[in-house]
Amino acid sequence: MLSLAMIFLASLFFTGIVIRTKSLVSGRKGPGIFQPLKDVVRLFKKGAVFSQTTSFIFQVAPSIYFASVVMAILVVPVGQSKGLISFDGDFVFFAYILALGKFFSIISALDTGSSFEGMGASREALFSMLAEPAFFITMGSFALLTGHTSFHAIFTALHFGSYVSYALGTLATFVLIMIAMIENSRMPIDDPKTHLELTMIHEVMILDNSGFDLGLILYATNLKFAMYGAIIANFFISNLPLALAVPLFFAVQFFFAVIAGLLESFAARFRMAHNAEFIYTLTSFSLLIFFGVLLLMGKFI
Amino acid sequence: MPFHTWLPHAHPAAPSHVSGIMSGVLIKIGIYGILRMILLIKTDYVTAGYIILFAAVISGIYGVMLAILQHNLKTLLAYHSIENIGIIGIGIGLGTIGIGAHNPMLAALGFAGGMLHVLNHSLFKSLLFFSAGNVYQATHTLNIEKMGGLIKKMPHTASLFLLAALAICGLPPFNGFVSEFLIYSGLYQGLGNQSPVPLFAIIASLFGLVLIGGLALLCFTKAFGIVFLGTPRRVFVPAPVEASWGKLVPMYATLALIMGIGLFPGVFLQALSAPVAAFTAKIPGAPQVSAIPENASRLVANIGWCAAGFIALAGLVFFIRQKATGRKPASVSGTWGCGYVGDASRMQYSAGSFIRSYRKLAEPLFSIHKKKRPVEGIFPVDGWQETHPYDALEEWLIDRPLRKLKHFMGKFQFLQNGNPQFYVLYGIVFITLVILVPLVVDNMYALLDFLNQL
Repeated sequence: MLSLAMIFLASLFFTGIVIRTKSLVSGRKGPGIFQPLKDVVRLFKKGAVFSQTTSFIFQVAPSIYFASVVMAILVVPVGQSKGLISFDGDFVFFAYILALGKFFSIISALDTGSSFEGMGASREALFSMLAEPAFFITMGSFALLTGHTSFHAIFTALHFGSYVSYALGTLATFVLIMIAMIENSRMPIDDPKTHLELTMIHEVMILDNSGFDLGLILYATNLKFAMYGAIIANFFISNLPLALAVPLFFAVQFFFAVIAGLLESFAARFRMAHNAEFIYTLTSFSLLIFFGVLLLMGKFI
Repeated sequence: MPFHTWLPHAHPAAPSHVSGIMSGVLIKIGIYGILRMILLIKTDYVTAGYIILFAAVISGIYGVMLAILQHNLKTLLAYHSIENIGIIGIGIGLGTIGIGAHNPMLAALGFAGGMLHVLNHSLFKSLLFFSAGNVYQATHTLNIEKMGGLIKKMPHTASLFLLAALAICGLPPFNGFVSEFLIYSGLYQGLGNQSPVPLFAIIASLFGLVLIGGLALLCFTKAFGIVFLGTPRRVFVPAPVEASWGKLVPMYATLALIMGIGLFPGVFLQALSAPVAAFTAKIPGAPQVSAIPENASRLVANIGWCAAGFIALAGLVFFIRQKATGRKPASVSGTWGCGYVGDASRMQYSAGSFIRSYRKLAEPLFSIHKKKRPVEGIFPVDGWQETHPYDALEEWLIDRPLRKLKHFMGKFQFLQNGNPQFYVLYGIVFITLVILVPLVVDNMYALLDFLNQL
C-alpha cells in the first residue's frame, strides 16, 4: 500500500521536473513542476471528439491502458514494504500486464484508420518487442544472484558487497533507465516534442484521442515514469530502514527525472532505422549483467 | 522444425471448423507421442531434455517470425500453431530436464505448463480459426490486405477474435498467460535452484520465450488491426454480415472456457495432477502424495486473483470514465489527416507496411521474393510493389532437394516411351536379371574360394 501511495506521489511531480530541467538547460524559466498535472486535470474536465472511423475499441482502450499501468504499479515494492501484490515470478506478471496495455494502445491507434497512427503503432509494437528480452534477462540474472523470483524478495536479498556487484548495480540502472525511456517513448528513441507526425511514435498514436481519454493516457505516462523510477530506487534503498528509505526514494526519483531531462536536452533522437539496433544493444548489456552474476557466484569456468 | 512445412499449406485449404480440429487435436498427436516416449524410455533425460528444448525454441521463434510476414489469415494462424507447439515443447523439455536433474519442482512446472498449454492452445486457436471462418464466409477472401473495418459489420466475431488474440499472446487475464507463467516459473526455477542445469540453455530459452511473446504481440496487433479496424479497403458485394447465432454460440462457449482457465487456473492445475504425477514418479525418491507442489498451486491461485482484480480495476476505470464524460459534449468528426479530409481508405497503413521495419530486420533469415516498379522519371507512371514471403527452411530442405531429385529422375524419362513392346522387353530383362544375378554371384564366390585355395 505504501508503495502505491509513494509512486502516486512521485508521479505528481515527475514529468514536471523533466520539463523544468529541460527549460532551465535551454535558458528559460519554464512552467511550474505541477503544470503537467494541471494539464491532465484540465483534460479531465473537457468534452471529446471522436473519429467516425473508430469503434468501441477506441473507447475502452485508454481505460484498459491506464488500468494496466496501475496494476503493474501494485506489483512494485518500495524498500522493505511489499507491493500490494507479491508472489514468486511477479515480474513476469508485471511485464505481461504492461504488454496488455500496449496491445490495446496499438489497436486503438489502428482503429482510427489513419496512416500516421498506423506508423506509430507499427514502431511501438516493434520497439517494445525488442526491449522486452533485456528486462527479462536482467531480472533473471538477479533472480539467479539472490535465489528469489519476486520483486520484493530479490530487492531485499540484494547486497552490494564486492566491486563486481557495484558494476552490476550500475549496469542494471542503465538498462532500466533506457527501458523506461523506451517504454515512455522519450528521447533517444522518440522525441515527444517533435512537430512532424512522421517522426513520432507515441505522440502520433494518440493524435485522435481527446478529453478524458487523453488525460488518462497522459497521466498513465507520468505513472509509468514514476514506476520505473521506483524500480531503480529499489536497487539502492531496499535494505534501509523506512525512515531513510522514503526520503531516498524521492531523491532517486528526482535524480532520475533530472537525468531524463538532461538526456533530452543534450541527446538527439536516433534515426528510426537505427532505433532497433540501439534497443538490441540493451539485451547485450543485460547479458553482461548475467555474466557478471555468474562471475560473482563463481560459476564462470 | 524442418518437418513443419505441410501445415501452412494444409490449414488454408481446410474448412475453418476442420482447421480448428486440426490445430486443436491433430497436431497435438505429435506432442502426445513425445510424452508417451518420455514415459516409456529409460535414458539420459537431461540430454533428451536439451534436444527437445533446442528444437522447441527454434520452432517457436521461427514459427512466429514467419507468421508475422503472412498476409493470408489462415496461413498466419497455421504458423502460429508451430510457435505454440514450440512453447509446449519448451515446457516438456524443461520437465524432462527436471526428471534428469532430480528436481521435482522443475519437472512438475515444466510438464504442467506444457500440458496446460496443449489445452489452452486448442481452445484459443480453434476460436481464432472459427472467427477466421466467419470472416471468410462474409468476405470470400483470406487476404488480409483486402479487408478492414469489419468490426462495424461483425462486432461479435471481431470481439471474439480480439479476446482469442489476447489469449494467444499470453496476456493476462486469459488462459495463455497461466501456462506461459508456469513455464516461466520453471525457467526461473531452473535458473535459481543451483541445480546441475547449465545456465546458458536456460537463459537462451528464456530469451526465446520472451521474444516469442513480443513477436506474437506484433503479429496479432497486425492481424486484428488490419482485418477488423480502420476503414474498409475494398467494397464487398454483398456487404459482409455478422455470422448467425448458430455459429456464434459455440464460439462463446469456447470463450467461456478460455476465461475460466484464466480466472480459476487452480481447478485446471489440480486436474493435471494425475498426468504430471506419472512423470514426476520417474524421479527416484520424489514425494508421491501430490504431483503439483504446494507452492505451485498457490502461485497459480495468485494469478487467478490478479486476473480477476485486473478485470475489476479496468471495469472501475471505465465506469469512472463513463460517469465523468456522460454529460460532456462528444462530437464526431473525421480522423486527423494533417488537414486532408477526403477518402483516406487507400492511404491506410496496410499489413505490409505495418510490419515493414520488422521485415527489414528479419530479411536475411527468410527468402522474401520482391517485385516492384518504383515511381520514377519526370512523368511517373503508377508504381507498385509486391512482397511474397517464403519459408527459407522449406525452400532449402524440402523444395530444393525435391527439385534436384526430380531433375535426376527426369534423366530416365526416355524409358517411358509409351511403346508396349519396350515394356515387355523391360519385363523380360528384369526376369532375366533376377534369375541371372544370384547365379553369377554364386559363381563369383566359387571362383574366389577356388582362387583362395590356390
